[in-house]
Amino acid sequence: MGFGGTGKRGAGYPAPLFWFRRARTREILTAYVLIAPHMLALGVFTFFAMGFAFYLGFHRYDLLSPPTFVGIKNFARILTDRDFHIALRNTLYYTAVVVPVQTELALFYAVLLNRPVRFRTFFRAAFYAPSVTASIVISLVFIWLYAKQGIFNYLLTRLGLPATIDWLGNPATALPAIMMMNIWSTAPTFMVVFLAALQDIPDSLLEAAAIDGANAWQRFTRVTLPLLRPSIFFVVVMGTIGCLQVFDQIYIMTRGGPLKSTMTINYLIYSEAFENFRMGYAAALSLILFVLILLLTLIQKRYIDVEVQY
Amino acid sequence: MFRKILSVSLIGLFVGITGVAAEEISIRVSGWVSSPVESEIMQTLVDLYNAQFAPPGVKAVYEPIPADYTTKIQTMLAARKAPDVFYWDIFMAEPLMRKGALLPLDDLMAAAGVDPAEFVDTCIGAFTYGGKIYGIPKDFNTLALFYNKKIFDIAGVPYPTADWTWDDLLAAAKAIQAKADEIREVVPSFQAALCMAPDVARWLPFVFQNGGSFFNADRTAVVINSPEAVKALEFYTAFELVHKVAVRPSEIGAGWQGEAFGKENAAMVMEGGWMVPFLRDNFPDVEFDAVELPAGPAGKGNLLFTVAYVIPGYEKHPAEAFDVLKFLTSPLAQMYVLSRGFALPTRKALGGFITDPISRTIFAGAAYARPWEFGPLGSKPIDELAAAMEAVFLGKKTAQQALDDAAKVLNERLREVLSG
Repeated sequence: MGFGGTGKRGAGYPAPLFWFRRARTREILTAYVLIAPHMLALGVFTFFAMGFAFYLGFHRYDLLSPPTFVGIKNFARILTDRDFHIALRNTLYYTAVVVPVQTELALFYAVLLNRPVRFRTFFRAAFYAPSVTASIVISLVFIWLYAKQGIFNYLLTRLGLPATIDWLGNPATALPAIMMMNIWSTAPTFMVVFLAALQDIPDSLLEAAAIDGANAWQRFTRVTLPLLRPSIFFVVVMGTIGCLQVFDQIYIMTRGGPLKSTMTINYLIYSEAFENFRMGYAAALSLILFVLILLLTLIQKRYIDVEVQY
Repeated sequence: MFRKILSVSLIGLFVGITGVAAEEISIRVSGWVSSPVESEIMQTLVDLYNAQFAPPGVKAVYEPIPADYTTKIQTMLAARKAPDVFYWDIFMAEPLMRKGALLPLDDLMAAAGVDPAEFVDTCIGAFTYGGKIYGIPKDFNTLALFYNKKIFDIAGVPYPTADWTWDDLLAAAKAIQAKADEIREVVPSFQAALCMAPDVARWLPFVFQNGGSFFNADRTAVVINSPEAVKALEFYTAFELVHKVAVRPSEIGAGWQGEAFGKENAAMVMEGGWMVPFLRDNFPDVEFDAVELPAGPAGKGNLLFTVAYVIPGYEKHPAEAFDVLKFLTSPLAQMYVLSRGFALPTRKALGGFITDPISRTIFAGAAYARPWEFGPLGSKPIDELAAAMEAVFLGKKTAQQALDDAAKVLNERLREVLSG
């Protein structure tokens, strides 16, 4: 219902055709006016930026001189770039560990907090807190927790372990340390998705299964889990995209070091663009990341997003 | 009616304000802020310029940039919104100069009677490209060997002197480390004789002292994997890896070598003049002094860190901007900065006014120091070589392997940059 023609129809007059047309036009116009601010922002900061990145990917551009066309040179260079190989390996390793663990943890949290435990609301809020905290803040806090004289090492020494691990300074532990932090802070976001989905599962189905003699584990694996499939797909896809794009924690905590052990594709893009001012090369890298995300999402869609009906 | 009057008068006011603003040229001056003192000094200088020296209709405005300075200025230059006069670090100078992003100052200098010969040659030389001067250095620093007097006294080791060699440094470090237990009785935080970071800006002087260099003679290739440089890296890392007389700052929870020195974790560090205000403000009880870096097999070597004031290439008011720049590098401004103990003057004539002994040591280093720059490669070698050094410290690669790998990457990048 647009803003025009109020009252007339309510008064019971038959709507003449010309009025109907005018109202429709107005309604459409209103709709466009209402979405215009968002479309404008989206157009400039998303669609234009995407198009420009595509354009830059085939150019050489250092911000100061105008872009020069170089064809597929940027992409050819990426193939032999040692830094890209390191970044690709780190990013895939990071994703392969973080996505399954955080999805399972989120599901575990959700199932736990879907039960009528005491202080359930408090637990839900407490678990969710890291998700609404800015990643910059979490990163800054974890720098101290991971410090050589930090709390983690202190706890390990209390357990009787000789803990002098330089978590973020050692190439073997830096990326796992960031993984642990991100699993801890992202799992609750997805917990909320699973909680909502769990509440959508009709009790009647679970009761029916119980009457048929299914125990709790069977009810979970045969009824609950298949019904959660759309949510699992969503969580895995969103988690994968988030992992492939991991950046701010690395920018704050390690800046890709030590020994490039935490260099991810997104951090490499940043460093090429804003430290080395190779905008074209960075744009080409971002196109590669885009293709990687697209491919992985399609694969996941093929294997997880299968419609389940009872 | 009232509304009409109001709106007319508002329009009048608006036109009036913009009319006045259009007549006045404001020259924006920007720099990073290393400490609150720096922004205070800059604001004082800008205020003084406006009060005493600004021609009518010109006003200088100080706009400090607190973080991500290089990135911010480069993007501002691309958007043509850069400040009219700004700090620019030596190691990022050539990438901008070769792109014509900075204004050549020769004609303006000649017209204003500023002679390049009044400035320390290495400083002004670092901002000269293709025979043109693009920046006037505001101050500079070199490295010196800072030592903790108390720890030397306890260990009974004579203080370092300006004629030390690599062997003297190693011998003294070993002598101090041998007395570690006695030192810890008085200075419980003591860890090692030296604190040495995997930092190119600390290791490169050793390369020079051993006769090596970053580029070949005509700057067409990176030769940082030369035998001289490899030997220098082996010597640098051996303090920790072989002789066990040095620690890295990250190992002892210090952010940088200066902090480790302030906390008295180490008896010696190689740092610059910034140590003096840092220690005075944060660790006032540490008794220290500094001498020139020890000489290597090929003699003395040091790095020259310098920052210049530059003007963007597209500047709309070059004469007015240069007038501000000229004031900021004038003997008056440099004397004021020197009097605040903040930085060393780049004007040769002011060298005699440096009375503080540590500042004189830093000043002396400039005589043989080479500029801290990597030509068109900008900051890329800093990251790449730091990673190479880290690999050696962690025992993942030998010095030869690490530098071969870094040189390969850097030479590829150099070919790419020089090709267009």
